[in-house]
Amino acid sequence: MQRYKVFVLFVVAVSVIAGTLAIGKVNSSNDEPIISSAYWVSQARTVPDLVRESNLIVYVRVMQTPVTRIVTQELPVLNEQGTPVATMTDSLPFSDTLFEVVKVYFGSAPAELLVMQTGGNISPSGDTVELPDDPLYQVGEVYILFLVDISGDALHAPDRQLYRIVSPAGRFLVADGVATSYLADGTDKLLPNTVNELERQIRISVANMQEDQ
Amino acid sequence: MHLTKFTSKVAILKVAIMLGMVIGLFQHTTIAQAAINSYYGDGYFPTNNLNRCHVGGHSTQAQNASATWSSSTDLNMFYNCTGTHITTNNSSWGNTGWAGLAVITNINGQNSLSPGFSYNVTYQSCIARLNQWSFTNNPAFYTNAEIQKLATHELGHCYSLDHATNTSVMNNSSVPQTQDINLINARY
Repeated sequence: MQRYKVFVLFVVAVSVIAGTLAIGKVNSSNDEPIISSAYWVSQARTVPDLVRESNLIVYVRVMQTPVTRIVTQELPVLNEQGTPVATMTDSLPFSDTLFEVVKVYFGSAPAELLVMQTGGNISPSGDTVELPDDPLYQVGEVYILFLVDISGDALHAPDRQLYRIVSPAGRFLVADGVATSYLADGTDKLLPNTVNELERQIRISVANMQEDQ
Repeated sequence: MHLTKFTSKVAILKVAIMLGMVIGLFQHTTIAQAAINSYYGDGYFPTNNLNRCHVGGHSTQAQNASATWSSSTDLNMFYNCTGTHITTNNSSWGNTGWAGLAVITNINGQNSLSPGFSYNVTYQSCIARLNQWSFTNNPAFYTNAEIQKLATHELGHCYSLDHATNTSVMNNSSVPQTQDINLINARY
């Protein structure tokens, strides 16, 4: 009987470890937690919400290394009363990445398109600057992207066609049938994590949206 | 009789396995949740007397946000553009998708937009950027009160707070909540 009790305790201990590891495996894509310091305008957390905020939804492949631009601004430094007393130069890098469009789920897309993101490769130092929840794209990566058309933006695209992601929630890295969103605030459980399920939800959401219009 | 005894032992084993799995799952879930309602890491400013300087518009909203942290926590925010710890910055960065962006620099000179940045190293400075483009193009949403709330949120990042999923200014509250205040006062 004593040996039996020891055996039961052993089984409990093994199961505790197995339970912990099982969840670890489910979350394996998030082993390195994504930290976000950006407050995104879009608060979309579900596929229907992402669809509603998108101009274009595409399955794409990264064709070229992001091309970085530095945007510099002269800004007034204020004293405590709010009066300008000096100027300060502030800069941020932005990058444009060329994608091959493989499949279009919603909207009208050319065969290739440019997507802008905050961050870039800074020359001559070679340093990389990127938002942790929207890292720079790498050549060959495959994504399903929920995009906003920002063509005509005075700062970034005054005379060209340019897109950005709705938010990291709408950036899904695709690999081996798995679709991983870059949403970093812990509410990503509302989003699908397989390509099949993501595509199914996109189809339904687009159809529902078009029906409502 | 023998069969009944065997069956009950199997049942006990099944219960033991399920209990173990549940404990394991619960353990892991607790760890995961704790990480999302807390600090970025072990790093933060080495003093609770912090100098702030403002550049660009919406200085009143930034000032009010700073004062809110000062009055509700042990932080003492001073306005001083010399030896500045935190710069609040309002300018138009275009249609980027973000309304606020906090960038921390640690004493090793690394900034938090660099891959490999360590949030466990003492902070040297922080820039809390507010994107005027987002305000101008969503005026119904970005009222002065909303901009102040956003500035309060970005300052929270500068003090070392991560995003939260419960009641918190690092989620969607307008002012620092009990959890935020406790986290700040534990460090400053």
